[in-house]
Amino acid sequence: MRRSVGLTLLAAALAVVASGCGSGVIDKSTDGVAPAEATGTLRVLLPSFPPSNEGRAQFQKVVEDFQQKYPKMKVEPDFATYNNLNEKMSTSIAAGIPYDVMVTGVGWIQPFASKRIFADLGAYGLTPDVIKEKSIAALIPAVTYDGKMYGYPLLADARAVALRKSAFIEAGLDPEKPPASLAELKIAAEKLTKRDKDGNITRSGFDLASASGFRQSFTTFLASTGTTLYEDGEPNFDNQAGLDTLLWIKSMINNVQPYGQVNAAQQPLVYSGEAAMGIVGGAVDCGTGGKGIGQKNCDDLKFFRFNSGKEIEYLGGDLASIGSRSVHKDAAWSFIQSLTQPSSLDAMAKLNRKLPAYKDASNSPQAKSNPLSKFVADGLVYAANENEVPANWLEMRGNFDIQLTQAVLGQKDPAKVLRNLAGQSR
Amino acid sequence: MTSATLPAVAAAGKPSAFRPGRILLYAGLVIGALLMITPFLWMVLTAFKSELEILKFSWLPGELRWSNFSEAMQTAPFLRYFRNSALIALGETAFTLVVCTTAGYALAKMPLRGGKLMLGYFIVLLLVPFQIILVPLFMIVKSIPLFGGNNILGQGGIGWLNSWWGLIIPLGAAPFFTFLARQFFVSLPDELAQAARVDGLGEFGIFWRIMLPLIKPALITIGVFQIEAAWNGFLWPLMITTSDELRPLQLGLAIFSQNPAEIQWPYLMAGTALATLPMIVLFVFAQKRFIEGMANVGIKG
Repeated sequence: MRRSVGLTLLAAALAVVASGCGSGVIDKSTDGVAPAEATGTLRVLLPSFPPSNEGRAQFQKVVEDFQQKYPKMKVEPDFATYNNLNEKMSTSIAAGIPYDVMVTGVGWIQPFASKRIFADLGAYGLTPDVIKEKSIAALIPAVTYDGKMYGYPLLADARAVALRKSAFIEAGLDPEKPPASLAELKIAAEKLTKRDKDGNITRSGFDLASASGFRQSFTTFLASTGTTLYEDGEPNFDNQAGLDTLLWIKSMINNVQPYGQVNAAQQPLVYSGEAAMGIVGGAVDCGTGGKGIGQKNCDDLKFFRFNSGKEIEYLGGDLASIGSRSVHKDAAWSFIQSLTQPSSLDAMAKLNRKLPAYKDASNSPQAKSNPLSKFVADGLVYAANENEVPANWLEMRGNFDIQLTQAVLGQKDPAKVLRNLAGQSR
Repeated sequence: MTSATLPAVAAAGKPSAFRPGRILLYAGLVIGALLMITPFLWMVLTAFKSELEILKFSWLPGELRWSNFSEAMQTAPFLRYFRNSALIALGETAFTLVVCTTAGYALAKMPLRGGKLMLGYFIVLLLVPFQIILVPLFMIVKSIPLFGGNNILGQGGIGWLNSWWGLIIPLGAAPFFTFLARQFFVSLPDELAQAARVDGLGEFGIFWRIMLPLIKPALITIGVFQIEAAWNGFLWPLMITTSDELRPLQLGLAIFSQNPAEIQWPYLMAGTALATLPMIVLFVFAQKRFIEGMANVGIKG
């Protein structure tokens, strides 16, 4: 009996040892090794390729380009989404197996760079001048932390404003002269707002696209006054311009748009006619036959930018970084170079309906594919965003969304909210 | 006299179909049922709509776009995702049935010193949100010795990350199912176990030959609950897998919401409707067990 128990235990132990033998060993460093001789697995975390059949096929082309230089290296992609990117990065860092290449967005570089998660790309010759020459200059602050460069732009995700020509004509406004300043926008929006006999809004005059929070719209409206949200990581909104902007948003909500209004598809309300004007994304599908909003709808739209002293369009984007603890930094940089080939960027742009972050984005296939992408691509020189954010920005994003909403809904004093947010930024 | 009064008594004792309380009860149940059914109805109807139709709220699609289903399924290897989900659900359930029933039996029937304390510990574990233990669990799974290139100390490799082991084992041993099993075992008379002990049967024999056959309905209940939980799992598979070969259906569906500003609602709803089907079928056939299971979790002993 005892012998059989012993044999069983021995067999179980051997089974465990045998099943433990396999791949998955963390690689040795390939930095300094000739690319043709480098071996190992490059781990890539990116939300820029959807894991669809088409997304995988396009990603494979990037891998093939990379493997021309690093033929013995494998590439292990992790196709994440922005919704779960933070969890993926945090758990991998906590477990001590961070990714070699990580693609994040505007506002992500500074928090991770400050924690030394990302490597300084200056070692690979990346400077602001390189980005100015090859990519989109407006994204330089987004990849800069403490004077160093930690990311390379892949995609640009712009926002514009759209109006419905028919609604303007109906309200006696000239659609060829869209309102631009905050004051003009409010006057036009009030004229365009439709109500039923009980005073309920049936068509919003202006869609602030802020159902989930006012952070991005506040940043955009503030930038249109010529004031950036942050300057060199320091808050720049706890001032008269910030207060005026917040009070303006407060005066719009439940006046020209009900708080929290969003349609079933979570798409810009101006596309469906539920709003006469509003913030839109960076691409519109004018296709017919159920795949887009239809050409007739598209023809009724006119795009413009905010200008309350400074003409701007909000710009986000996808930014590629190298993990500071990567043992394949040279290969990772080579992979980023493959990612930033124009053909790769065009493929990513199409998959994500964003703009490729190369110099001549206006002439990219994506820009030519629809009128809105063309409009925002032509306006990249007006790009603005949060600018160089503080190290705790990922935490601050939630704070902004909650506290700005409290101010807009009259639950907290707007001036105190801005002061509080400035104090929390660090 | 008596014969004259009897019918009146009988009439008064007969429950009226139109009592106000009953009407209120049915009204409440109908409202509750509608609240539960509405999201499902919206999901199915949205699966047939065009993108333009989704922009404006309407219940019924202009035409039934069956092509949304086929196009959604062709977007990614969904057949593989279905297979993976089924493997995870079956694997986790089998592991749960083994581990949680034995643990539940020990808590309910074995004369353990500190048994009450351990039961309290399990109840407290029920209160801990999964997000709290996510990172520690991830690190434990990464440090499993002799797996995934790890040495005997659990270092140097990736352990159970990106493996079936990691997908199945950690979520199999759930405190909820241990508690559920314990509640079922508590309902069995102690005399059965004592008689078996007197007859010289070992503790495992009592569990396997006496007690387990008596809680077969409970096993079905636990199995049904675990299959449902494993099928719907999202966060844990997302965290520990990078390979598409292992990813389940719920992660596959995230393809359609890759860009939060450009969610492909018709495809997402078509895929979700198909993903929900097995669980709806399971519920239809096992709804009695679902309800029994919850009823039996009531505090006992």
